[in-house]
This record gives sequence, structure tokens and C-alpha cells, in this order.
Amino acid sequence: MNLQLFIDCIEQAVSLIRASGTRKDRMREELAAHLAASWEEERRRDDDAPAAAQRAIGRLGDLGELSRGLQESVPRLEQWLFTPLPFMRHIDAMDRALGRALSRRDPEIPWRHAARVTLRMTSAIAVTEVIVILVTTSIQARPHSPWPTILLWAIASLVVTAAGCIIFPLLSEAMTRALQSPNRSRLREALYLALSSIVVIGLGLGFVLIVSLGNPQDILFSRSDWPRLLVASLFAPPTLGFAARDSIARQRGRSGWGINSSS
Amino acid sequence: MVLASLERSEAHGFEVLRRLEDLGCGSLTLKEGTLYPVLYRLEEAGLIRGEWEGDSEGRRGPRRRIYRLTEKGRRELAQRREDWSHFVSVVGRILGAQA
Repeated sequence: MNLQLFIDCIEQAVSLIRASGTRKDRMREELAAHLAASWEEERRRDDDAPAAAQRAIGRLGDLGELSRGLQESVPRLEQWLFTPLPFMRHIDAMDRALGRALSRRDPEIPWRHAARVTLRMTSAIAVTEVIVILVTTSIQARPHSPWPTILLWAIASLVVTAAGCIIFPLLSEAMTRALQSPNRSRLREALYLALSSIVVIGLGLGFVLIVSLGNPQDILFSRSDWPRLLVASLFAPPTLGFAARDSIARQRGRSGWGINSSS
Repeated sequence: MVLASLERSEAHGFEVLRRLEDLGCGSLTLKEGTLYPVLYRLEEAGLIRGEWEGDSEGRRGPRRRIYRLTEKGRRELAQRREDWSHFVSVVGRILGAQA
């Protein structure tokens, strides 16, 4: 039986709640588990599955009341932080569109996904660079830097973006699998997180190396740049962890939080 | 009531409802949706702790969140029982006197 009815009911209760995505996903999954259990119980009384599903939903009570109760259980600060603002609607829509464009599609293999992300991101950056260069040259008669330097910076940023876009989706996929593995290893997860920091440092050094090709006499990477690069690398592990958890939540959401497998 | 239902052992939301209804001997019928906001508030207050059950349980269907009483929750339950006993004895005396 298709239990879309349950998913619709859960969405009706949860979707408008002002809370973080993680909290709302937790509510969805827990309500899904509850409805699946109620449905099983109702089916034992009467084998009419659609009627049993309706009774299971009815047992939850008024959905508006449930939604209000769930909203009140969210801490005040979180409610305030997730209150939708009028101008945020467009930003949210852009964020969702970007997420759809860059996230992995269901039957897509990790390498293909990484290649697609790389192609889109490097194309977007290449187009931006061309526009910036054209605008700058049209405003200034002579650019600040010589053309070979400008081109090297443009190439370096494209190479580093491409390398990052290939490596990070693959690393995120590996982290997702590590988190979902029945034999979870903290050591393996820590290694992936550490690797993400190393990759950021490597990308930074790679950028400097390419740019240095056009200017071998100057020291482009000064001592004060190291702390900046190290600080930037510290953002990589939480980002990777968040991306992997988000990917797992999306996978579970796509499968209706496991409801369809209970039928 | 939810704290008391978790005193004996940990349980997921549906099981908490079953226990409450069993203990109520049919006199207690709850709208099932009202349980989850209560569980979330108790968890936020640190009186209970919830964890997703592992995939190793071999169950099909959505994961369940298993709740257990914390030490703070046990102390709170003891305090509320004391308050309730006091309330019942006071009201009992009043009603007994009127009778």
C-alpha cells in the first residue's frame, strides 16, 4: 500500500513549524514511526488497510493542535531564528535551487555527481571571471596587474575550484557511508574530517604554486598567510560533517522516513 | 506521568502511550499526538534522554527514538510524587471533612 497519506499528514503537522531542519526531520521521523506502529495495530484489528491508515491518522488527534504543540516544544531562540522573513523567501528559494542543482540525484554514482558539480561550479566561476575582467578593462585603460598575472590568477582559481569540487563530494560520500555503516568506526570518521582540513590546506598551497609560476622571484606565500590558511582549514571538518548528515537526512526523507518499507 | 512510565525501563513514544493506557486501566484515553511535544519538552529540560535505535535492530520501517529517564528526571519524578501525595492528602482531608 502507498502510505503517501501518512507523509502528507506528517508534512501538514511539521512543515510550517519554526525550527531547524534537523529538529523538524526528527519530528517527521518520529511521527512516521508512530503512524507505522498505529497502522500495524489497527490492521491487526481489521485487515482493511486504507481504513486502518485513516484510523491511525485519526488517533493522532487534530493536526493543527499537534502542530501548535510541536511548535511550543521548540526553544524560543530557535523559533526566533527560524521565523521566516519576507525578503528571506527569495534567498531560501535560491538556496533550494542551488541545493537541487548540486546535490546528488538518486541513481547517480558518486564520481558522476562529483564531475557534474565540478563542471557547473568551474563554468560559473569562469563566466564570473570573464565578466569581471571585461568590466575592469572597460573601466580602466590599463589593468593594475599585467595580463599574464591576471590570467594565472584566473587559471589558478579554476584549477583549485575544480579540484575542490571533485574531492569534496567524494569525501562527503565517504563520510556519509562511514556514518551509515553498521560497524561505525570513530577513527575512520575522524580521519575523513582531518583529511578535509588537509585538502583545504593543499588547495591553498596549490593556488599559490600556480600563481607563483608567473612570478618566481616574489614570495607570494608569506608567513602571515599560514594562520589564515589554517583557520580556513578548520571550517572544513564541520562543513563535511554537516554535508554528510544532511545527505543522510535527505536520503531518509526521499524514502518517506522508512514508512513505505513498513508496508 | 510520562516520567513515571519511563521509570521501569526505556521506551519509544508508542510504547510510552501503551504503558500509560495500560496503567490507566482503560480510563485514560489520550490523543496520541499530544505525547510528542511533552517528550520534546522533557528532553529539552534534561529530564529524559532520547536516542535513535540502531539499524542493527533488524526492523523494517521508520527508526524509533528510544527515551530513558536521566538522573535529573528521577529526582524530578520523586519530587512530583511527593507533591502529588501531599495534594491528595490535603484534598482527601477536605473532602473527608465535608462528608
